[in-house]
Amino acid sequence: MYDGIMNFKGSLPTLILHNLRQGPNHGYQIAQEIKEKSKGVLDFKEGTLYPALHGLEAKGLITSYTSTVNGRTRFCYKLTDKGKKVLAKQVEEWDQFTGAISLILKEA
Amino acid sequence: MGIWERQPYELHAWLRIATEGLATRAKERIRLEIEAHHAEAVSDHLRKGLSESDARSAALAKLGNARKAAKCFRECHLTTREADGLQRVFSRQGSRWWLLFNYIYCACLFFAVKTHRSFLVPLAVVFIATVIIPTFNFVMVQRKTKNVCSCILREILAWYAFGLSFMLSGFYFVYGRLSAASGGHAVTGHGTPFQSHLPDFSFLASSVSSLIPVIICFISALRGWLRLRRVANVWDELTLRNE
Repeated sequence: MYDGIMNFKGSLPTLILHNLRQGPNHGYQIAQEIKEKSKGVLDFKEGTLYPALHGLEAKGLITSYTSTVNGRTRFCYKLTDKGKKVLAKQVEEWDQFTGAISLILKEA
Repeated sequence: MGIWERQPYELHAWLRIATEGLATRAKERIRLEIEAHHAEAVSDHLRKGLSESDARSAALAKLGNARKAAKCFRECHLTTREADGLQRVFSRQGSRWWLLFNYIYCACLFFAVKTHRSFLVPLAVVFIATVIIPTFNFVMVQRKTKNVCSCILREILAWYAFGLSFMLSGFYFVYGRLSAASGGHAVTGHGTPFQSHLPDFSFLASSVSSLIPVIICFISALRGWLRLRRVANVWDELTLRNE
């Protein structure tokens, strides 16, 4: 699990938005895909995923709808237009930030 | 995690800790989501060859600390107390009797002080607080536009205006008494107190005494509104979904 000095918790909403860019998804699948794509580095506690999802919903960046799978109610999340704009901005900011850090670290 | 904070061994115990104090609808939603999540995680672990009990334990461990989750959930969901308060606000705003009471109160006050021109400003504020805002609230609730955020803001405005009218009445009363005591004219309807030439002390004393409670009320109301603003959209979704 990633346990470095950088704050992963703050990046979780961006990763969720990025995941939902590919289409609607549910909580468990979002968590698994983030772990798989990061090759297990970002192995976060899944209980923190749902407050992040609900927080994004409260901000209007994603919307939810329910579906029934195997007799269980499943909440699926979908990216909104506002969410798409915010994601694009966050990705741009992230690129600038990591680029600047790389410049400094490579110099050393 | 402290030594006294033992992690629960069962999902229902984890959920009880994580959703403690939350509103019923928020609790229900979180329960449904976490149960579905846990069931899928258990299925995955079983496919990987773990025993039933090991799969359940592993899935529960992956959920993490229930108390940390509870803290996060409280940031984006209403608590029971907040939900009850909101329900009371909606009931009051949609009540014809409450509206009628406001109109009667405003009419009584108007007839009581109509001869005193100095009370015109507080009376105007009372009119906003007891006629305009409640009427608007009533119409909005009748139309079932339950936007929590604006509902609370209007409620705060109404009470704030109501409080302000009391403060202004007090201000005029104190100012009138002080001005009478210091040789100026009292509030008799012949011009406003501001037109009299009085010592600065009386003006300062009455201003401070009337403004401090208003500022304190305003700050606490604003803090409450900002908190509710954060959870309003999720609450709206839940309300619509369940109705």
